[in-house]
Amino acid sequence: MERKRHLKTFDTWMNGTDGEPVDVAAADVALIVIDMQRGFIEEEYSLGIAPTQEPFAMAVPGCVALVESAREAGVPVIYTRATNLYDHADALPRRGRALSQPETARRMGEHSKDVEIIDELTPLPTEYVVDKSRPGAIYGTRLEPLLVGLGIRSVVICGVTTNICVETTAREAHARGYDTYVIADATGEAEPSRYWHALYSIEFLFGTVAMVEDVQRSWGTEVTGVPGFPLQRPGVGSAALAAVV
Amino acid sequence: MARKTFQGWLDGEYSSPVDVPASDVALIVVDMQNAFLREEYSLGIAETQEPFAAAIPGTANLIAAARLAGVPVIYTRYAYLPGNEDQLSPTGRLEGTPLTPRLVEGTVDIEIIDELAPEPGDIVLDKSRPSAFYGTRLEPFLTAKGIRSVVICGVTTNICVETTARDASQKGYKTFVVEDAVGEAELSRHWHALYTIEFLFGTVCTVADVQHSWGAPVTGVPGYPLKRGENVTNLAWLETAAS
Repeated sequence: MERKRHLKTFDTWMNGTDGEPVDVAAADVALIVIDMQRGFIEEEYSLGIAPTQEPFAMAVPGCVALVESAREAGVPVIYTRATNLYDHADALPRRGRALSQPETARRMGEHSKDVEIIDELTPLPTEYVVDKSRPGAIYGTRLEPLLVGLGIRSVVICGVTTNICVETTAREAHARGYDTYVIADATGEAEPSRYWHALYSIEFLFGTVAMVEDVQRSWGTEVTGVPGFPLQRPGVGSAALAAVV
Repeated sequence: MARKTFQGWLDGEYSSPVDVPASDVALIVVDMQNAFLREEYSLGIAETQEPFAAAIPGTANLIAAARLAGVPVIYTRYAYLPGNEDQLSPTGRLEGTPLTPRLVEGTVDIEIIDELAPEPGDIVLDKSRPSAFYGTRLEPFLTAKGIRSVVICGVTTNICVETTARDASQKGYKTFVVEDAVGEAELSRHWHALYTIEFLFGTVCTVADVQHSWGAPVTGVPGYPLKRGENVTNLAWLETAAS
């Protein structure tokens, strides 16, 4: 059966299918750096959703490399911040099973330390910062007016967390017809199985999973990849690059 | 409260019975179409249609409960325009490959399966994207009716069900996804999709929870084999004497 030969599965993907280098759009493209905020990345501001901040912090070197590449290539950089309005007026009420649990501390209030972008990724005055109340960067924000204003038709997405804000944003971008790239070695998630399933969901339908080195090559900047990035599929990315070079 | 983990959830945490809103609520039946559920119309995205067909009995029970309780039933259909003008061009690793017309409006592919045929008064919404909210009349309908909660079932768990749940949650709808009335090609994707929903976007509940909350006879889904904490890997339908 011909169609069976092309059946995508999570297992074959984990073993390296759809892992070859891929070209990333170089024109009419923007880099979207999702929620690289103290609240997620730094121990002392932990939101308590990962055992340590390590799984989120692993996105930092890749995001730094992408931002440098974008600046050199003249690609606009847009940072998002998860935050809530004064008194958390835009936060959703608790529901479902959370109703029977003690109320958790309110985090990510506007103007708090939590909300600031980490120092390594400090936006330039010429770059854009978009605040959002929900996981998706498009829902209820100025992101889409900005993209349309800039004539952007492709988005390269990195940041945290892979399964929640990065994946929701990729699903939103896909629905609107943006050519959507998510950069595997520039995102982070609390649990590896959720990291991999989020990326597979994206490659299955919503966009293209690429590596930092794919972006660097496509944008004509120095190809460094992310040496030592802890989560790798066999034969994909830096490992494969090293073998070829 | 202990930190949520995927493994803990798979082992049965957060599976307590839960109340589902019985007022200002709608049932959204996602993409229970011939194209996904009938072998002869397979989209080729699962080894067999069995993982998707697993959603049929639970969905049928939910529709029956909704009709009994007077809850509006909304069916979505994944359907492209007759000329496929609204289908996205292949990009990334598929760039340059030709578009295959499928899920085309007016073909038998896109019809709701016979067992779940909509009745007069039900809403049927065609959509061009995974989410039932994007580019459809779903939200105009929900706001017109004052609906603030949605109960979602259908296929596929990881793609159209999950995307719809993410959108519903972001828009502030109380969002419930019914774990024994959805289906996905691979079980690890099924479970990760449901966990993602329980982690942040909504509440994962069962057909029995919905029936109980809506005052319908509580049958659950007799013989449905998957149960967190007991069996999460074998979808082979159990031969049980359904009472």
